[in-house]
Amino acid sequence: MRKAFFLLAVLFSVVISTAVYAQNETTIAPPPDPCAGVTCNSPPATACDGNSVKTYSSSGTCSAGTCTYPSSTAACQYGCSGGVCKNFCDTATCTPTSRICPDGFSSSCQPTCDRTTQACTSCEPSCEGHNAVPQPTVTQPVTNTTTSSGGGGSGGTTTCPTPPAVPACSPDAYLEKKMDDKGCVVEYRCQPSQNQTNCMQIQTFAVDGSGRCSMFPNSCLPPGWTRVERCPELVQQQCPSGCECKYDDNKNIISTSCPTQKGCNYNGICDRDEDSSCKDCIGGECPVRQSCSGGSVSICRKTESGCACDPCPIPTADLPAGCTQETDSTGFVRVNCQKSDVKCATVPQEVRLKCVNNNGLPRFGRDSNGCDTFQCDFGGERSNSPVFATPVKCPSPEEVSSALEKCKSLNMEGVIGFEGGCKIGKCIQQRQEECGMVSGPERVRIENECSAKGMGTMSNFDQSGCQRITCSERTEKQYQCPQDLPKEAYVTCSEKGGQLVVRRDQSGCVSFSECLKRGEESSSFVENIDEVPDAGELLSIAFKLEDLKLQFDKLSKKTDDIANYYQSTGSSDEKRFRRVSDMFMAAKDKVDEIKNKLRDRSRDISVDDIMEIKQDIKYIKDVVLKDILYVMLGSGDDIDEIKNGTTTNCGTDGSCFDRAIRICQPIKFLPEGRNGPSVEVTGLVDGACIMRVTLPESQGPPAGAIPGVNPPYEMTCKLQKYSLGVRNPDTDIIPYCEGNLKELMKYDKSRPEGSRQGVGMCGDTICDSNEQQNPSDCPQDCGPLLGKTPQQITSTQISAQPMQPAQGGNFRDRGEFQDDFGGESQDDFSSGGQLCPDGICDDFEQKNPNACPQDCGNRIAGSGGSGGGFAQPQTVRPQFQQQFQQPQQQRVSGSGASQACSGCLNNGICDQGECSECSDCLGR
Amino acid sequence: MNKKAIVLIMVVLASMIFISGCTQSQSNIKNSEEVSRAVTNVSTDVQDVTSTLSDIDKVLGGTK
Repeated sequence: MRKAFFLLAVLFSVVISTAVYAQNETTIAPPPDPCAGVTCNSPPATACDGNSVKTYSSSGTCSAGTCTYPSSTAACQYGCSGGVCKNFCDTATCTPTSRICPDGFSSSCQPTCDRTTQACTSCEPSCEGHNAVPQPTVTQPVTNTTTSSGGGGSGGTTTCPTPPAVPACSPDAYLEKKMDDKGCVVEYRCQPSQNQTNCMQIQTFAVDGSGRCSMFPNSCLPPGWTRVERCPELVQQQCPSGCECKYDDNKNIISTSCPTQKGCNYNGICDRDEDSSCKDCIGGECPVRQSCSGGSVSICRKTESGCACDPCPIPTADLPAGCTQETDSTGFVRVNCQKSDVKCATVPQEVRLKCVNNNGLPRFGRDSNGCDTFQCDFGGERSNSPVFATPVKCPSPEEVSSALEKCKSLNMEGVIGFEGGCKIGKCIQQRQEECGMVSGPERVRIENECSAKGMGTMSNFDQSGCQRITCSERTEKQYQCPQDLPKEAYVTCSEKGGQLVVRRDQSGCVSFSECLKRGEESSSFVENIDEVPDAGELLSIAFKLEDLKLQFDKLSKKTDDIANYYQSTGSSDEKRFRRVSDMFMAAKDKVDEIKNKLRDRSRDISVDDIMEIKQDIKYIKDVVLKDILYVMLGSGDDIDEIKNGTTTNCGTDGSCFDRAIRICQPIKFLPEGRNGPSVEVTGLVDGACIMRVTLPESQGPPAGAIPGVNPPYEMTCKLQKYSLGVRNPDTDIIPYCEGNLKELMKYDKSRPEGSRQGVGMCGDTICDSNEQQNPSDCPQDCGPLLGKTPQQITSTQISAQPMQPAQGGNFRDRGEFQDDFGGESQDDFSSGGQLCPDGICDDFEQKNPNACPQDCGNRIAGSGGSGGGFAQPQTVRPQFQQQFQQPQQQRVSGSGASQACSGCLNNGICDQGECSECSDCLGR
Repeated sequence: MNKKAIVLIMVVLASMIFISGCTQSQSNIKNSEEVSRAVTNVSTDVQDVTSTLSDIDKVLGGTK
């Protein structure tokens, strides 16, 4: 038993230490949940809220360790005291009732107040002992004659006539007598009992038996009316927006029910979702609204931490014409401008011509704003396929150096790019400086510098929207902040095709601004460097990378938390934040990979290693992080499609696919037009981006041609690190795919060489991507390539692979392959390519025949000019069936010149090196 | 080691697995105010991370 307990103790130690280690490893242990173990079942006692009584629900919700209970209020007709509504009898005074008795006595009684009926009960003054009618002091004659004494008469006696009979009056009446001038009673009348003598001239409210309330000019009330304190307001109280209210007979609100977010919850806190007209949001130290520059206002509300006002909108005068602004639920203000505002950089034709004349490969791309980008590559020729193009052979270091020199003559910037493991020299257009907010550490550094000088700091934004922090002349250390960005900043961002996002803090200062743009993979390159940083610098980089890894991990969890919140509210924003979380996690993995690379090569790290690491760093910075901010804060069609799951059609635009896959945006993509494979990205499932690739049966080998691989040809890929893009399909896509299309492509290297057929088979006339890397391994297929220098190898020659989309290299932008799918024939696909020579006389080359005579020479001669004779499709379309049917041919060049031919490519184009008997060349 | 000890260990392990599953909190964010604060913080952090990457880029050399 001792052993068991010892073992148990060891197990506990291991588990606990593992947990501690796991927490230390990330150092971002989530803060303890202050609501853990808190049960909200002790609501506050019912309390008065002015003249209303507030009642709390028995169960509440916990936030930040504090329980909040839903409450409802009910208006009290007679006020509230001690958490209960007052009774009528607490406030009303029942007026005494009085009457005049027959003998003139005034009798009165005090009515009592009935708390049940909330009314004064009537009482009857008693006239007991006062019912005798008083007789006049004069002697009433028995006859209707009068006797007078003295003075010539018989004495002074007046004789009155016989008085009338005394009527019997009802209890609520008294007897009134009428006498003549001699004091004789001439009449008796019964008059109603009224306390006329007690009436006071004050306005008096009273209700009758039906509850009708009325005001009387004095305190004397008609029978059946009872005095009340006041009549209720007869104007119906306004119900808060979004609420349902119940009213009493006097149109007073007696209860509210606010099911919508805009209702009032009467919890004493002006919550964000409460209407500004709610009681919680009015009064106190928090203003209902605050004034903003430009004359606009923003709504304020009380919060648990004080007062929060909506961010002020950007002054309309500061917005460029045609731009609008919107404020999202998180307080970020976005400025949306028309795409027509975007100013694209133009590419001078002479630059492209120079590129071609220097044996460079002109490459056009298209960015997210639809602007063409241009670069001239030297060496690293790649396949002609619009997707998965692969460099043929890496250029030598001398060739790279030579390429960078050539860039100067092109008046372009020489940079290095690593593609498919090759170091490629390329010339790019001059870049513009990009900037944004000054980072936190940098700001601290500036503040410390200024502080040392006894000065404060002042922040401003320049016309490009870049933040500048300088020391302020003021002696006090006060951080002066800008309230707005200059108008030019919006214009500049708009012209770049960006979306400027601004966030202000509680003091109205701009706390965040960014010109949101999609990351562009084509911008992932590095400048040439001459030496390796010293060991100390490399060590500091290693530390920074470790810190970055932790940062990305923390951000991934935080954004996942946000996604969980949105999921709980049913908001479609969950999808965008789930992606952002994935992107942070992918960035973390990439940083880890860089760190390991640095560690593994630390002893003999080369300049090329440093440049490769540098490119990875730039990729994270310029592509991944830009995408993250765009997905998180941006708006537009891309974001809507993510949120709504709708699918966009990229047509044949490879750059569209590139951008979409990095954020797992649902798209359809036809890399080779209508008659090629179809790629569809469907969305996220369990953290993986799902991509389906199908190949029409007519484009693949006939059933039975490859044992065990039969139509339909398709594969499904579950891409875990989709946000890093497709930089190398061999490692980024293919390993995550399943389906017979993968089999068809022969990426299944586990199969022995002899058992593979079709594409991956040596001797199949196809120099596929694997064989290209080591052409000598399969001279049967790659023989023609072996005898040529890389510069002599045409891209088309090496792209003759039955299933282009899945073979090597990056997805390449093919702006000229854009397809609106409006037509029926293949001619709707504009022919094109962007390489020279690529066997395709594209649009540019048609207009500038000298740019690429290799592609357009024959056509120009034959057609007599540009534009003619190009109706037939020239899109690269692999034809499996033809591939299997065409034998090796004798050596005849595609252009008719007698030279060695390497077989049939069957791509619709009579390429250089293709045999004249091939179907591609027969019709020319 | 007797059977009781093995059973006890199994129970403890199962309990720990269960508890670790229970502690997977759904979301620490409870309302839109906290979402707003979190998004702002993440955005600022991204800019700081970008700055760190730029620093590394400079140290690696070649930056204009």
